[in-house]
Amino acid sequence: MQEIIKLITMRNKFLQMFLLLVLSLMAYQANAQKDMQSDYYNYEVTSIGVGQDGTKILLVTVEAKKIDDGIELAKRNAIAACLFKGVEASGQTEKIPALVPQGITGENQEFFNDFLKLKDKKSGGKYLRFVTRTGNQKAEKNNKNYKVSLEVQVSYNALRDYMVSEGMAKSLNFLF
Amino acid sequence: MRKIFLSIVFVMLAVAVMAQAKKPTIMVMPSDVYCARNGYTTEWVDENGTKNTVSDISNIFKQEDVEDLRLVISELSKIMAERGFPLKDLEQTLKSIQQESVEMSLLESSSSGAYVTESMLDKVLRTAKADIILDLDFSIMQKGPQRYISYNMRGLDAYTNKVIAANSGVGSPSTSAPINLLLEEAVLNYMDSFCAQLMAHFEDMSRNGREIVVKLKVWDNADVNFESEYDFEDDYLELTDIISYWMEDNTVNHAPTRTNATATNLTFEQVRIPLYRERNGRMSALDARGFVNGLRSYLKKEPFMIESKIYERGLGEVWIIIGEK
Repeated sequence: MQEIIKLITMRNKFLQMFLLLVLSLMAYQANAQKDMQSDYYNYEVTSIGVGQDGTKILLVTVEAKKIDDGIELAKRNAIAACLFKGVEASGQTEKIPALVPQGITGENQEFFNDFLKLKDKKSGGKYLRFVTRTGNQKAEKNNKNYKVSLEVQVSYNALRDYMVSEGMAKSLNFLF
Repeated sequence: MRKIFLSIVFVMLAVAVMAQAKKPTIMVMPSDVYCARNGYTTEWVDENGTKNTVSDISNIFKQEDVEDLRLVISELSKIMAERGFPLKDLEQTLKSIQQESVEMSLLESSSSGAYVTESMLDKVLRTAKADIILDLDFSIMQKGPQRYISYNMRGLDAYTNKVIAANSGVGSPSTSAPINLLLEEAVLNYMDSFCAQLMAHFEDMSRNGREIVVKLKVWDNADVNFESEYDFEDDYLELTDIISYWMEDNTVNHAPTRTNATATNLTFEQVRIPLYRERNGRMSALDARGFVNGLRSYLKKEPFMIESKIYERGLGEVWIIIGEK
């Protein structure tokens, strides 16, 4: 009888440990996903040209576990760069100013979390309407991750007009 | 009671929303360097026999080789119009001035045949002017078989002479792209950054008020000057100090800079005036003239009793000439 109780207790402990492990893994995964979702600043971005009709061509480099994730992240970060970081001048291209230089605040957090949510099978990807074209994709293995570079053409003027219409950015004639 | 309160709140909100600051006019002007490089200049000899060379802006658009300049101005106009700032067109303004001169010389009263009065000052003032000048310079450079654009544009406040935005650089070299494409690319490349600087200027204006210049002068037949003393706040003060106190009390930053103070001349720079004032129960835009009207009225009262004339040079500069109208 005692042995049966001991076995049940051991099994319970094993179950408890297993559950703890599963929960920890889920929390880690959720945290990693959250970091990727909300990190609008930590990536490399350079301006490589201006296009007609108010478009900018950016080269974005990101790190991701899968190449496909990296490509999606690069598209999203190209938009995030135009919104929050701006893009420094390089070579023959002039600095691209941030459209929302104040960044994420309590007032706009909900809007941007929704707008910049990475595209998955069910939702997200609202930012993609301002990605005109992508090309010259490069990926190289870097430890456990892939370093993915992608040229992204962004409809900068359309993005600016959309942010102004949504009340997230100021129009140049806001005072007059 | 609640309805009345809500109505008051609604009216106040409507007033706050409707109030708009006076919009500055913006015009692209080719820089002196551009005019000199391309030969768009004219020479004249002054009374001392010194030969002077000045940009011949009034005839620049009659030249045959100004397609590049017109293209750049068109591109800039398009971008600024998209941003809610239609540019005042230099070419059209020059045509309009010439047309106005002809009409003024021919206009006469149908009953007595009288002509319209126009002082020499009115004639001088009939020039192409704007509140913000986009001083533009560009040139087409060549390096071996490649051509590229050197571009320089500054946004200048016409009254304070401050540079409020500036961009310069060279475009991508190309062996095959036509010049107009290189020019268009240069404009597109620099305008977002330029507009961001303009935006910063307007944000500063919304926080700290519009920056203007106020100059005070004296008519040569006046019996007062800026060293005249008055019994003021239990003291005997010169008019210079009294006017300085008025400026401090009525400006947003309470610290205008007095850059020149003699018996006959007073200049205040970095005068930050409010963008709006309340008038007849509603907020209306305030400009330099509206601001110094307060000073004119102040000087007209006891103990000063000084008559003065306001001369408006534009949205951001105004003169008061004391002694008479």
